[in-house]
Amino acid sequence: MRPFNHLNAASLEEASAALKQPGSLAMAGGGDLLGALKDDIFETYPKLVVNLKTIPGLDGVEVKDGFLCLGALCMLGDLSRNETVQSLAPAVAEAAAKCASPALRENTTLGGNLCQLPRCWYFRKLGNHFDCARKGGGKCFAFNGDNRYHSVFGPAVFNGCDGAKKACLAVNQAELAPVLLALEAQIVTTARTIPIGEFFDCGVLRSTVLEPGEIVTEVRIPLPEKGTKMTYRRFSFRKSIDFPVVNLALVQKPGGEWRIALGGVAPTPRRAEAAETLLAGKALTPELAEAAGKAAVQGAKPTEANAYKLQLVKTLVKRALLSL
Amino acid sequence: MPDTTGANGLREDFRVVGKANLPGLTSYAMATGVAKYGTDFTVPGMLFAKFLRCPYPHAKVRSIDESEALAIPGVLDVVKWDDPIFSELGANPMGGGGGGSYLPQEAHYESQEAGCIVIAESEALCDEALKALKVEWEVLPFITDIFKGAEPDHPLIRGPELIEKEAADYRPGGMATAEGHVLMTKHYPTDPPREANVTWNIKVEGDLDEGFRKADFILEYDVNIPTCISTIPNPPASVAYWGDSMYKGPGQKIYIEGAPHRRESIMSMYHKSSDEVVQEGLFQGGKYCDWGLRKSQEITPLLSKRMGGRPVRCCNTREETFDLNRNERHMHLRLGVTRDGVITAVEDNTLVDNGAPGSSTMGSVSDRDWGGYYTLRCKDITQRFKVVDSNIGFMHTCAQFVPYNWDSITVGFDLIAEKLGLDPVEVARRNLHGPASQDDPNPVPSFEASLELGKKLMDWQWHPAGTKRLPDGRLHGASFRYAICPRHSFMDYFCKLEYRDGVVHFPTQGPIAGWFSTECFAMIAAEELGLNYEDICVDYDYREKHSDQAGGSDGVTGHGWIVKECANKLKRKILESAARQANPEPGAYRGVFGFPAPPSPLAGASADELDIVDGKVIVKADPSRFVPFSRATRENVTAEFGGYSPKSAWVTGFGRILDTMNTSWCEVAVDDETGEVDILKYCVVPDVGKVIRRTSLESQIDQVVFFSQGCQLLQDVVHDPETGVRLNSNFLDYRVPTTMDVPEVTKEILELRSGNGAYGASGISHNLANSHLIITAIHNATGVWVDPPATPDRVLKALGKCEIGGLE
Repeated sequence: MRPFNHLNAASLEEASAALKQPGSLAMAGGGDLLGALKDDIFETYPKLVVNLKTIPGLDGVEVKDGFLCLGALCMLGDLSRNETVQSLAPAVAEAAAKCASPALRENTTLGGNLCQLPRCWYFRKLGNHFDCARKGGGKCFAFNGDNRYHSVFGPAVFNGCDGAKKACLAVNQAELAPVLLALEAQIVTTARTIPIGEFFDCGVLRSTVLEPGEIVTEVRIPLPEKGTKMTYRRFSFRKSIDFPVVNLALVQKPGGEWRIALGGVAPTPRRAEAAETLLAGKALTPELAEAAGKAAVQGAKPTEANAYKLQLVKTLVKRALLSL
Repeated sequence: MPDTTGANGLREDFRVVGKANLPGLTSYAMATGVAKYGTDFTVPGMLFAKFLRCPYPHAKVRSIDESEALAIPGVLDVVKWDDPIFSELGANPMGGGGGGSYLPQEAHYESQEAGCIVIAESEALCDEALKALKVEWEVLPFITDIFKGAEPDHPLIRGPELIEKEAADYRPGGMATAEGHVLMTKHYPTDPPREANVTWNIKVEGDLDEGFRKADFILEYDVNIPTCISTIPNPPASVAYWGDSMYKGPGQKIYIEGAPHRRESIMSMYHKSSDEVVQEGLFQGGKYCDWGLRKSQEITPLLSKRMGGRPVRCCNTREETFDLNRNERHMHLRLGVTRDGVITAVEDNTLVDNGAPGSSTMGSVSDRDWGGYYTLRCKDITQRFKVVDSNIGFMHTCAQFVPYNWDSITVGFDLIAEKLGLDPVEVARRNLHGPASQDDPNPVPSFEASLELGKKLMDWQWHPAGTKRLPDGRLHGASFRYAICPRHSFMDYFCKLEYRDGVVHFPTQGPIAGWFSTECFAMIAAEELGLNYEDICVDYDYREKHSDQAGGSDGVTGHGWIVKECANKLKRKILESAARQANPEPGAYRGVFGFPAPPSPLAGASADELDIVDGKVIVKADPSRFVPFSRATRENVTAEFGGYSPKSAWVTGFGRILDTMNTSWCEVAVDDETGEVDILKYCVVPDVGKVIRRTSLESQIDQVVFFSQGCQLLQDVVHDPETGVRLNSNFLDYRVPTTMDVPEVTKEILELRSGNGAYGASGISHNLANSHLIITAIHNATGVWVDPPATPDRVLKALGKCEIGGLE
């Protein structure tokens, strides 16, 4: 690791001002950033790392104005054990409990989990080896390379710094993203409130729509109606530590409306709308669950290397539905 | 064969040997942080050094502009490949080391040291300097896919000099069988000539055509074994500086820590005598069967000298030591088989990765001379190795999986069983030859005992492939394999024991690579001397000749035999001394200030009439007459013993003689909707001959099984197909199992005393490592073959459950 300046921010204002300076990066738990710095994956090394953990008041859980409000600095371990979360949004507690490993969950924040950079092995290669599209380079190496963990729903397409159209096959593997999407959460920042469906963006060097100096302060989940059912499923190659290859959350509202959100399969967390429509208002049967699983992958464009993800989605959706 | 040639080899009354949980002599130091590893050493005022490493699979440094790097305050030097300083280095007798080409200009695998070394005031400054270098790399043709590399029109990846050097790697003076057959060499004079990037290594025994003529059918199958990586837990690092020698002059003595090896390596490289190299700590986390020093451990004295004697530290990262622990191999087998399931011919056509230049043959071809094939009654065997040069990685010493051909046999037995509706255990039984030779029709007691116990532990009920589902809906599969428990140590050993001031001392260099051999040796010495484990005082002293170099269980059992003999020699000398002092010559000086000493309780007894029992020297005929062992004699008594222990399994048939054997068993559940494989039970029943230190033995079994499980279920080296760059040189993407992924190993250890180490002990390590036991169980569950690692995506693909579409 190379030298950088470090600021323990005392307030959001101080942190925000510091993060507006070019060459500065925010750090909460550090689970994502420190690994990236150690592996030297950026073209330029940060001059300043702003520690957000020293800002007071951002790690609370409370019910307020019809929302379950989760502080951005809540540790995932704390979230998984929080009784309010367990009772009002059990799928959130489930997702938090399955993330990474026991030790990492005690050091990893909710905000950090949502804002992490993609895990693509071209993007993350030691020493910034691949000048990939997401870093401003000309191409996404996963197209012709090894894309077994990449998107099965096509690439993110965006305008590069040079104005040219770029595409990137990296997926969003944030553990909490699908469940928050299924629960229609809002992301509160120092500047605005953003529906979670609009929070993730694949612009160059960004995994979210946050502007320089903008900091996530809270995640607000509308309080689920009484009788709402929800569950979370994930699949990874190892039973601990790994990021999910596929993860998903299901929410069944009392009126028969469904929300199904998938992670790990596309550049951003993704609603399985065809499956939601198929299920709406119907009594759940094994056959319907299987059909919903198939509908969840409608429109997929897998490669030979990652087509297995479709089978995983189908199975996980089916099993999750039948478990409710 | 039992230990009949030395002292007490058939001993039955063990008091110390075989006990579990006797404390490791260095456990406290390791658990508390007292132990210093290479990465822990710091010396006031030290400088730091880092190698430039190649970011490509194959590339040559055309030029380096170091001006910007040297302009960074605190960056002191950039030493380039053509600097004359490297010509000062001598060879490392254990491989590596060097001369003028020590730091190459051309790198043959990603992360290989090449081009230059930077020296700076801090590690971070080294990183800054490396980043500031303007390196012009010439990216060269590479091979990371050995199928493509084997094609005749693939560009050559090695120059004529390297090709010539390897062609000359036929070492008639090296290791050989009793019949004079040369082992562990890459090529033989009879092999066909090189074709582009491919060389050949062929071994023909018996008459293959005749073997096939005896068969009722021919079984044809593939065994694919992927590359496997392991890293040294604490990345190799050393710190060195030069001090004054009272005898040779100023700056003549090397102080080095973190190069855990016999000091001979550093002595040889720097042309120093034993008293001129000081290295006290030898702690190093172990990487299986890899005791090669890395350049970061060898180079620091040279750099310190260049920097005027200032201490220099050099360190690798973990990513930089992702070295091969197994070379990729693709075996195409043709077995001639009778309708009774007896194999009559073995034709093995193997495509194997040669690794980067200088890689050990232990990862590629050397197992042609031993292993599974020679445990068969069948003697018509042909092995053809097509060896492909590559840029995949470097095999330093040895693959844990050697010999690989156990796995082709494991799969073969399963396929024969499937075809004939026989239990694979029965197939194995019909093919295994007897204990004495391949013509011996008798059963092997060790095998039969291991088999029966294994079947009982597993509640073994074999079923045809794809025919059993568990209550939870998953598919159930089971598999079995056997191997020999070999003692393959081939070196001569040495032991010195001293009785001094009433205590037995065992002087030795420090422990290397996490081995607990010294504890085993102390147990053997205590056993033979009638003492307790704690009574043996181990003196760690870097100047001693003895070291833990013996290795794991293989070395312990062979080296332990030498210790046993040495302890008996010491015992004899102690008793002779005790008898001499108990029966002084008339008028001899007898006590303090010349006062007469009281008569010894041993008076009148000769050495033959004495024994050492429970910490006392007793008169055998009257044990009530004794002196405490600590007062056996006032003399210092020393015993030394060295040489070879009885012939190891390697030179008594390589599988053609069967004494100690083992069986391994596995049960899996396969979720055919997700491709997830769970190991339900993994059982090992090794006949180790005799347990020496149970804690070490059980740990070694756990290690080898854990490794085998990881390589079959998860571990996969991935290269970008376009650039050949490795994509997963870290422990997030290169997946080693967590403890949640694999079950506890069920192990029952047999002690039939028929090994050829101390007390009939044998080693266990290499041959418990396997690449296909779990894979075979998955086949038994699903009816399809999944090449390792059987990750869910591969399982689903094999099951035909992957929909494929094209990217738009």
